[in-house]
Amino acid sequence: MYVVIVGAGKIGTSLAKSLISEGHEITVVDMQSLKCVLLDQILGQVSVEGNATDPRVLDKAGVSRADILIATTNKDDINLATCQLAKHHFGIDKAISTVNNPDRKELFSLLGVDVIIDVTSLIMDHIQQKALSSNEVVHLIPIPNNVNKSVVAINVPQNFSFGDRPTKTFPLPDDTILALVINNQGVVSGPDETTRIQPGDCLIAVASKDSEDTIRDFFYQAKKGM
Amino acid sequence: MLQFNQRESGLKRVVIMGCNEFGILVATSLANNGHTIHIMDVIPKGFNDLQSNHLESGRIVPILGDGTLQQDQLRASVPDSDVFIALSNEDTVNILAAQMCKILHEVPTVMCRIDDPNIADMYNKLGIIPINTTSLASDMIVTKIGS
Repeated sequence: MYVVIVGAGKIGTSLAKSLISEGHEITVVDMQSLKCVLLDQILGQVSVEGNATDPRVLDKAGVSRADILIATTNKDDINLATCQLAKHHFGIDKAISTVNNPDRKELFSLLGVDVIIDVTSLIMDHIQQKALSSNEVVHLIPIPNNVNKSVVAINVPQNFSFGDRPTKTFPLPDDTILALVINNQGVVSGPDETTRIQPGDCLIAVASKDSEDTIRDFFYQAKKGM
Repeated sequence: MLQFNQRESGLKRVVIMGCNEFGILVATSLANNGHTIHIMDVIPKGFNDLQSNHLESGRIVPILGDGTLQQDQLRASVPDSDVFIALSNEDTVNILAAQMCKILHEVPTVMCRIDDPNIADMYNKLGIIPINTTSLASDMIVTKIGS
């Protein structure tokens, strides 16, 4: 594949190395000549210095023959403009972009960005998962084709008091799917009518952003009975 | 959240992003014609150059905020506005803000400063009116030399 990467920052550089080692052809566009020079020293002649929101620069980078353009700068406005240019002027098949402000995901999607990588949420979720034991629904992976839904983990707390009820009686939103139950021995099963959720279990579910408050309130509320 | 005042007929509620010389000039002209302007910028320095009579009357209201953020667009009452004009010094910032206003808030008239003539017409089909400063200036120079 021929991939054009915009931005020779941490993400762009890492991506460039990764793609080259997988045998793809790449060009990296960056405005700073120093970054271009450093990158070329490591990877050979791969860089084009210039502003990726200028069609002449993208032309020089060969976007018209590229399979994918990936925008990785830390400025959402530049990433968006670059992707729109690549699609509109150059007819690229796939435009991928990181987005720094998660609120912009929907807009990017509406404006034709094919794949959106919410870097801020990825990092936050990772921190939550690894470093904080909190009464929170932990995001594991986003759902493809749906920016509002994720696969989540719910670590059932010690004060969970509905261990006598089948899961389908839980007052959760209809679009929340409890997919797997992992008990404290690490045994994984799909919940059925006989399943009873116990403190210490980990539930893997698919949930929408809007449902998370309801899910959190149900699993982590301190008072008994509901 | 700042509200626009009761609307008088024919007069528009305008939000301008970019309290730079361009923005101040446009805001003042529009205010002189009776329109109400919310002018926003991330740096408050430009607010000092707004005309005090318009500030006092509430014709021009400065708002410290980022026109590319939803919450700041809401604070500036973008959803209730008739016109949004993106006049910051950066094309990409203007383009992002303008598209947000058109698509997310359906502001009837959205104008967007784009300095780069190569991309000025890309957003026309969304109904965004480009203000291509470079072409305008260039055309004017050529016309003057020609005559």
